[in-house]
Amino acid sequence: MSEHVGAPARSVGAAIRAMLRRDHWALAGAVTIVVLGIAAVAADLLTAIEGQDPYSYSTGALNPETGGPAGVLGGVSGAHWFGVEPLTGRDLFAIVVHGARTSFLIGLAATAVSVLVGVLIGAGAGYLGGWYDRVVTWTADVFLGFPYLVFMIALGAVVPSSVSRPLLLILVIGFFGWPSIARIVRSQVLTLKKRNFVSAARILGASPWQVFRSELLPNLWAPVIVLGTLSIPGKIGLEAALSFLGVGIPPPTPSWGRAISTAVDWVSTDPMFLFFPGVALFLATWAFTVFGDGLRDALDPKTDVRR
Amino acid sequence: MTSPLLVLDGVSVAFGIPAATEVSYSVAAGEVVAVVGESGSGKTVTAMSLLGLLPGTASVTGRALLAGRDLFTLPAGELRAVRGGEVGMVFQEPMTALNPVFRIGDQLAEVVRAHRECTAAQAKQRTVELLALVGLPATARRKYPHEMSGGQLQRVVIAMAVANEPTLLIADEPTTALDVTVQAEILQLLRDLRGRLDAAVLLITHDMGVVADLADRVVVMHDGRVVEQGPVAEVFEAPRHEYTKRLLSAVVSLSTPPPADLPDATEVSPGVVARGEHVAVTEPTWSVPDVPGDDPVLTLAGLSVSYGRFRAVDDVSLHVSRGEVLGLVGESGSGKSSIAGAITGLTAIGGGVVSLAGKDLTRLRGRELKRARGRIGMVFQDPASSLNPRAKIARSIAQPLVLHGSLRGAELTAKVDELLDAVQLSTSLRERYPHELSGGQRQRVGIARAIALDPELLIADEPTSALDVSVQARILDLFRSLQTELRFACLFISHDLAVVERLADRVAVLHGGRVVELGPARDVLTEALHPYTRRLLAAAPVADPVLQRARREAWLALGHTE
Repeated sequence: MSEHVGAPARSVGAAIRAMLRRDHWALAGAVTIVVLGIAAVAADLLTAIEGQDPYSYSTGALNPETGGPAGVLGGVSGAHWFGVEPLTGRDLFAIVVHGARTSFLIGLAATAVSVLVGVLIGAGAGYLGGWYDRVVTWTADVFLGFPYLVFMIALGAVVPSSVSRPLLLILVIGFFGWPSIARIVRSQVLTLKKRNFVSAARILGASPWQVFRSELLPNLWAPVIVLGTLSIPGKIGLEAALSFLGVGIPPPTPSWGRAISTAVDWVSTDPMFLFFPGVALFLATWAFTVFGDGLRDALDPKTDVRR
Repeated sequence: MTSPLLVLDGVSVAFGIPAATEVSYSVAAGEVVAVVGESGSGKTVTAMSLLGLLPGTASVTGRALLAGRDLFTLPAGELRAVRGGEVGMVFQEPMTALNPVFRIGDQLAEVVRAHRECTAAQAKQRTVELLALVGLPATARRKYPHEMSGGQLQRVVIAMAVANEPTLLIADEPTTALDVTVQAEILQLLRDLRGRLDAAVLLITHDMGVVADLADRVVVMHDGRVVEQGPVAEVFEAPRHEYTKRLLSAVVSLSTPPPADLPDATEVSPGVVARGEHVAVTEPTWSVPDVPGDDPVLTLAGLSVSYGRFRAVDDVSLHVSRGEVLGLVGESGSGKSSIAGAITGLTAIGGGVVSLAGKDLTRLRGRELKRARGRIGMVFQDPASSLNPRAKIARSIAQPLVLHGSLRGAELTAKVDELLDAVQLSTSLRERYPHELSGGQRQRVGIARAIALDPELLIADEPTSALDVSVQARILDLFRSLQTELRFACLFISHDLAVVERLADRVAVLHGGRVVELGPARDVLTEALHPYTRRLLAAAPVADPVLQRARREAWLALGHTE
């Protein structure tokens, strides 16, 4: 008879380190995330080294006849590493690295909101059961089928501009992310609840909160980290999509989505304007996805693949 | 002498680390060979390698000759023909071995048609024959797996295994998941089939009683190696290897009854017979009334537990006195665990009273209820699931102290060390995680947690049934010494009569949610009054081939229909 310990018992940290040593794709993802993360955090420093900032207009870098950038490849030069924006002459490198800051801030903070709400609601539904569980499951189903993009666009138009847009985006995107997290957490808790160590705590008179904190939560970290990481690219993409549609981050704050939206009009004359923010968005979503996939392989024994 | 049917010659299996090393044994046609060993001994891995059923990470060397052909070098197509054709397989867990969405008849017919060309009518005909062969009515064809009991399902699995008249039947722990009365019937069926089909049986088991009951020869495995093999009678009579001796001496068997010299039981009230303190019911829907005791810690009065319409526990009255061990015996579905759940508050009570030291637990609320719960300790069946895999041992043991006591810091550490000491574990284990411990060590941790608050009542729900024989004996010894030292009242739940006999002062026998018999352990387990208890006792195999043969005949004479 083999003895099965349901959850992988090694620590989450050790599992991630082992995964990064073994799984080269996940390692590439992690490196990309770190590089983009450093660019986002040190955006001011990097643009200072370049000698630019994302807000100053510089008509000198433009071709006076077309309004497009002067020079080849969208105006790439020692002064403007990624070239400049058509019509304004703003530095594209500064826009991309500051845009990374916006994307990461919203992607990570919105994920934190989803995870927090999702874990609390999902664990409560799984553990307490009864009518609370039915209400949560029903609400989650409604939310999953909800046309949230339309809702967000409408909300962007209705909410007064005095409300901070990044904060609004974080709350709205984060809030719409809870059902998928809550569903998985609920099902995990339903299986954990039947394990005897949870019964042991209940028999001793532990309150639901004590059971959640000391028995359930340590066993939920692995799936929650995987789910959270895999949902970041979707949230970065959603922010870009909203900015693309003009209801996301308002100008002049740099945003990849808005830069891409503007660049679409210039794609025939200045393709590099689309290239740099587009590649940045692609790299960010790709990196979080492969890293999240690696995490799932490392932390979830059910999808154990051998590479 | 004919050459053996199956010959294993120096078979080694490794998953990175060796799981079985240089295993050699043989099975003659029509012979029953039992491979015994504890978990991790390599007995199952070796047998699985024969049919190529190991995961791809396993590396197998050596030779396994079935009627002269080496199974390890056979092409995939021919091996498939061997599987289910010449070799049949019976699995441990019949519920998972059958597909839940197909009818029994269709699944059997599929096996029949997989290995020979035949029409649907012929396959159906053969299905009926097979069902009759394993003692099931032809109407079982129309049933789905969930509509049948575990014993019936195992009969279906056996019918599948013998569908194509195999020369060898591999049975991997065929009765481990079954109740003891059902186990006896399945063993009888296997014995019967072997006689009728002349198939050899390779029986893999950890249960020495099953070996004594069924096998001709026995192969003892330990740490991946064969340490001893020979005819069952010889090995059980005079084991040569040190490990075999240890294994056989660790087996907990029922003691043989003394010559009956007791007065007949007298009817004390309508439907209830008694012989001193030993009482049993004669009415099928009655439960034995409680015999009042002095200084009861736990009293159950008219306890009922229902799941929907099903009454799992029906009007049960029992008590456990201070310092007493009450054994609660019964098969699956008899209501043992529901009673434990009702006492600990995990299961809702349908009716009746559960009182601990005079206080009715069903009426307590909030702080008082929590304090009362702290006076009950619980040891679970499966030590792997009763410890939080992400909590260190010290934290698991300290959990009740943190929830109920005021101990913190150094005092808490000292108390945890004291508890580890009490269950004979090294204090160096305190910073380990459960998966780093063996099954026996984990169960000791579970016991340490249960006695942390010095409970008045300890509930042990099958605390040794998930453990190996040798570990089981040591855990029982520990249990007994702790009980003598700490004098807690103990409700000891088990399906294993021999284990209960070793520990319990009194025994209550549960059947269909009712207590059918209650009395001093010795009387109940040797001179049972209720027919169900007698069947239960007769069905439990003992690890002695000679004695077991006599017991088997007695069991057959008793009639074994449910």
